[in-house]
Amino acid sequence: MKMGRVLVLLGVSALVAILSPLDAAIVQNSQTVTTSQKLEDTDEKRVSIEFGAGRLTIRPIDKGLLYRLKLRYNKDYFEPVTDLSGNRLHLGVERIRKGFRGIFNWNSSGGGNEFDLELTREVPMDLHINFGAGSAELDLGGLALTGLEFNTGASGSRIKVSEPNREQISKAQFNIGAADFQLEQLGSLNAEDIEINAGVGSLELSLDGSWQRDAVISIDMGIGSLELHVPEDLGFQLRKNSFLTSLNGMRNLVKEGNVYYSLNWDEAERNVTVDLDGALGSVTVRLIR
Amino acid sequence: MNRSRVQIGLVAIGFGFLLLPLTLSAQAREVITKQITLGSSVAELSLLFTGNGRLDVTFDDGVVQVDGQVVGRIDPGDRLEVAWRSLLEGAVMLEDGPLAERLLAWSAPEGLAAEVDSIAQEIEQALQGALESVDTQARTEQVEVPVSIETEGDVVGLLERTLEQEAEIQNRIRVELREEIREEIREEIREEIREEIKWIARSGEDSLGVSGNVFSGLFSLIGNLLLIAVLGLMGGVLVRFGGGHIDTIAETALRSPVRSALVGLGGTLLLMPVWLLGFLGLLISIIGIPLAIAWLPLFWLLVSMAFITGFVSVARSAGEWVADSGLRWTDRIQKSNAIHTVFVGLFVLLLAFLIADVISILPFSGFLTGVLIFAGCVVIVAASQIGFGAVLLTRAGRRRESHYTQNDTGIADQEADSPGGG
Repeated sequence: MKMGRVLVLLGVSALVAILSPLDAAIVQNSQTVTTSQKLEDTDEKRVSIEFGAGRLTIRPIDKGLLYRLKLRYNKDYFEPVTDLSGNRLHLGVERIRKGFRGIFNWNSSGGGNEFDLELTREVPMDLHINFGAGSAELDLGGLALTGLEFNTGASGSRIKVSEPNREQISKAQFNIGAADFQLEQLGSLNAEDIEINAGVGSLELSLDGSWQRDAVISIDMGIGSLELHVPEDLGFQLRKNSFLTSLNGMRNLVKEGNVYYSLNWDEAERNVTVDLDGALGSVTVRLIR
Repeated sequence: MNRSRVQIGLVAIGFGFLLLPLTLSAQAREVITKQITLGSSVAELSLLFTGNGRLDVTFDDGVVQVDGQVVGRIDPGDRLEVAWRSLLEGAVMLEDGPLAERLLAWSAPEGLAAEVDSIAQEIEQALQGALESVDTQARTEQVEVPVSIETEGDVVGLLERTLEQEAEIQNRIRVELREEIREEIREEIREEIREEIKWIARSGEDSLGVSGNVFSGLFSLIGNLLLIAVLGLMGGVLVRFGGGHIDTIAETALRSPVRSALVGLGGTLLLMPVWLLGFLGLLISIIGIPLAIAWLPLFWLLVSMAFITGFVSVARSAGEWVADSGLRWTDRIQKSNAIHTVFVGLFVLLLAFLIADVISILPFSGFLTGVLIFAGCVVIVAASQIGFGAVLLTRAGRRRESHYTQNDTGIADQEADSPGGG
């Protein structure tokens, strides 16, 4: 067993040594583009974001600009896309050459591809994000979202809504492949219907924030763990339709068949229903103050 | 006449003053889009103004272009390029007025070579031409400052300059702070990763998320493959030098698995008492004292050999069973080759572990991995007990199990002779 570990460590070290010159070559072709667009009108926009791999950051910006984007990428493999046509805004990177080396664009100081976007709070927007792999840190607080779709492959993603959404979303959708996914202050998203489709990984949903209406959260989970943080004053219901799923933290909930209710379900000002359809994994419910 | 001319002149001047703000307003333009590109060989500024006006200044691998026209070539890394890069780096976070002001204030370094200096002048002129009509007071982030129009110009000017400087300082501080914070976070993350790697190396445990799972899974997989290789080699040696005995043990394990398992279980439970009693018995007899010392390790060595022999024998039976199963690919297994069947059997017995290793690479597959490891443990314990029991029953393969009336699988057994001189 130990011999095996030594062999693997030697192999990894050799691989790192072999790849180091390549890595240096990649850094040589790393390019940073910073683009900003003045806010000219407040008509609703459809904003689509495409980013293959790296570190994705999205946050709000104060008035005056429609967006500001800082993009770091490998210019040999990608080119930036910043296209505002009518009420459609498309931001991202497009692959211009096949190959593996430029995907992450890692360098020796830990940097890599970066997509750092600031979006206006002034314009209502239907936001669509396609993110391949890497880490994502999104603060959608204070944006005026009329729609939201977040698709990711293999990533560590954290989305928070630090301030209430200025608009109302009828349906927000999160499609996750294999990821470590955190969603915080979900109440502030102001969405009536939230759909989460997850393949493999861990989901952590915090149902805090300011709920302005009752909501239904549908979770379709393959293999993985789900952790729900539920404020004590929120009416909460978990409808479980799953196979081989263990439940933890249900002591404070009332069970009726496959449905678990919080004690305050009938009295709570806002009620949230979680429809869980999972294959294999664990579900933990934690009450928070 | 003269008086009327003076009157006309005054009226004209009056109109002129009235129209002046409108004219200035019409000329003032805004930056709609700003793009700054910085790479190892590229330093580019691209501005789009209201009314579709634009400015592009590009340094690309020594070639300098203004609005798409090549204005000259410089050595990459020349002082002019360094100064241009520095300007762009400072302008990244600026918009509108402060941006225009910063760009207009730029001047090329002194003492440049004549050719480079002419390029610098071209750039300065281009900046001047494009930005002179941009309102340098305009701000993207609308700072509401109550400035009284009646206030004297000097005070207003001073206040505005102060505000601009403040905004500029704020921008610089923001950029510098951000860089510092990023650097600190990077350093902290690096330190944490180093610590975790050290911890993993020390404890042999892993909890590094996806990468930890990958390494852990790979280590474990390689470990199990090595185990198969080692046991297979031992099995090869055993088959080579004790073929008949192994045949007998394997046959007993196959024909009487339950009986062998029960004997193995009983034998395992009796190991400790036998070891202790044997030691004491040898101690009591004066002649046995030297043997008692040898007994302590020798007993466990023999037990280990018995377990390994039994396990390899069971593996061989499992390999033969797979060869006879008629499944796809099993026709490649040479049943006549005992070493071949031992290896196949070992793979079968450790299959659950191998699959668990592969699955554990996937994040958050702990439950499924646990189930597979549990199944693997059951198989290994059962195989070990059956093998050990078969070794005991056949006296290490020297005596074929006799007096069967009905074996565990329900197949009528025939009385057999003891092979190998047993």
